[in-house]
Amino acid sequence: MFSFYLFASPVMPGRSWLVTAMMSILGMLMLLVGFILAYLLIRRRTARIQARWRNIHRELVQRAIFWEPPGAEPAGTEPLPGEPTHIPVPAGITRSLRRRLFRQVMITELISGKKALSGTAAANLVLLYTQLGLGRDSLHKLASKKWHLQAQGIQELATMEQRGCVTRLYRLTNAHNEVVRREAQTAIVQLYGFEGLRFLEVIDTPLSEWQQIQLLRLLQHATGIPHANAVHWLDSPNPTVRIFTLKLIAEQHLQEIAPRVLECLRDGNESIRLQAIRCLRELDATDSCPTLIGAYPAEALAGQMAILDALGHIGTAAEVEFLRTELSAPDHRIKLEAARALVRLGDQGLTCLEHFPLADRSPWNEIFSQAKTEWMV
Amino acid sequence: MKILVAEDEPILIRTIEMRLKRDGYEVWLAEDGQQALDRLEQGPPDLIITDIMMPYASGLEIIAAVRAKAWPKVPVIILSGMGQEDVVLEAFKLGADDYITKPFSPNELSVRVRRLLTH
Repeated sequence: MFSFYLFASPVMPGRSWLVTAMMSILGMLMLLVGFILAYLLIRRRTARIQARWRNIHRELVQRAIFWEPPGAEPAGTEPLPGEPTHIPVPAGITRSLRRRLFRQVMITELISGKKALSGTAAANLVLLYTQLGLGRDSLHKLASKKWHLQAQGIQELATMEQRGCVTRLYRLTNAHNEVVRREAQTAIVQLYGFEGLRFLEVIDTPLSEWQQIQLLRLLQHATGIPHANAVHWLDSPNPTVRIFTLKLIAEQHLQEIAPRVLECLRDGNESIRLQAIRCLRELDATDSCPTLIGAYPAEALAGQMAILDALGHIGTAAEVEFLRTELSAPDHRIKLEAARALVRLGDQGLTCLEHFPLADRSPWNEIFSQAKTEWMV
Repeated sequence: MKILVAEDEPILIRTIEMRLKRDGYEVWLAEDGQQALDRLEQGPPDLIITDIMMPYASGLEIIAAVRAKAWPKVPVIILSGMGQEDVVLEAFKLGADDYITKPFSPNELSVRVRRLLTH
């Protein structure tokens, strides 16, 4: 009503600016609405096209999954002349593969299949990926300036087991962007196992806790860790590399490296010393108990608690006396940890608790009872 | 022999369908948990293959629903992802007969289906 009045009535000189402003706003709004509509239409059309492509690709992927190479039965038979030696791809698809988006939809479908399947089916999907030259698209992404594209390319190459591009991936293990770096490190370890950990020698950026867990998970079932490399990584100037190596040594039970782990108890970094104590516990390094006891006075509370815990796991009767003295420590947390360690040591530890002069007085009676209950649970 | 396959991953459900059809089974497909439960209302299949994590109803709910029915025992194979040990144990408690971890080979699944159906 108001706008009708504005347009219908003769324009007064004082109001011309108002009309111009209103017209401009209206024009801009119409432009914006037009732009949004066009964008939604294009998006809808693209989604529809992509859905159609996905169906085409899924058919090809299904065929690839169940494809058997000529001469598969009996094993080792040479293909007959004229027999296809690769997965047959319809001409229409080959033509459409010239389009970048079409290729990307194909890559996504292949990746999704590869992640869910194993055995011959998975090997065939890798074969199709290679046969269609889709590795070039993934490699192209590595050169992108956008980190998310780089990360995507790395994931694609690792999932599709493209070992040939190791040099390109290796370079990215020390990339500036954290996500890219993480993906590259994961990819290298996924493809090469322990050998892939060579990047530990060059990285000058921290390995996050999450990344360490991820790498340890990937290496859970790997075998053949080179001991010399593990010792070398313990000398890394990067503290997170040293911490990761200690975790790896513990996880892989590399008992032979225990003497070198003991040296880490003198490291200036508290986190490394803590990790070394945990590592010695996992290695069941009973010989290290006197060194742990020697390091005890210089440690802060966390370090002392870790040592007491380690002594409970790897200690012997020889450590009972030291643990008994810690029952008189002023900090109740130390008292409890020492009691726990004594309970874990078995009969001699339990006898020590029973004969402790203040055993029936508070807080010792509560602490001892707590330690014993925990052990029984 | 009728096999109900409940799986929400399009590539996987088609792959399992193709593999089982090649082996000569009749395959009922359910792309989410609710579809599987609806399908079970129409009568018992001879075997069920179900993913654990699915929209609307989980694989565990499907096992519970099957075991609650007064049917002769229908064998159930569960498809689980890596690191789902707790859920797999829960599935066994509910009455699952076998499990297969993703990624898996369709040929291996085929062998497991045959073994369960012949016992």
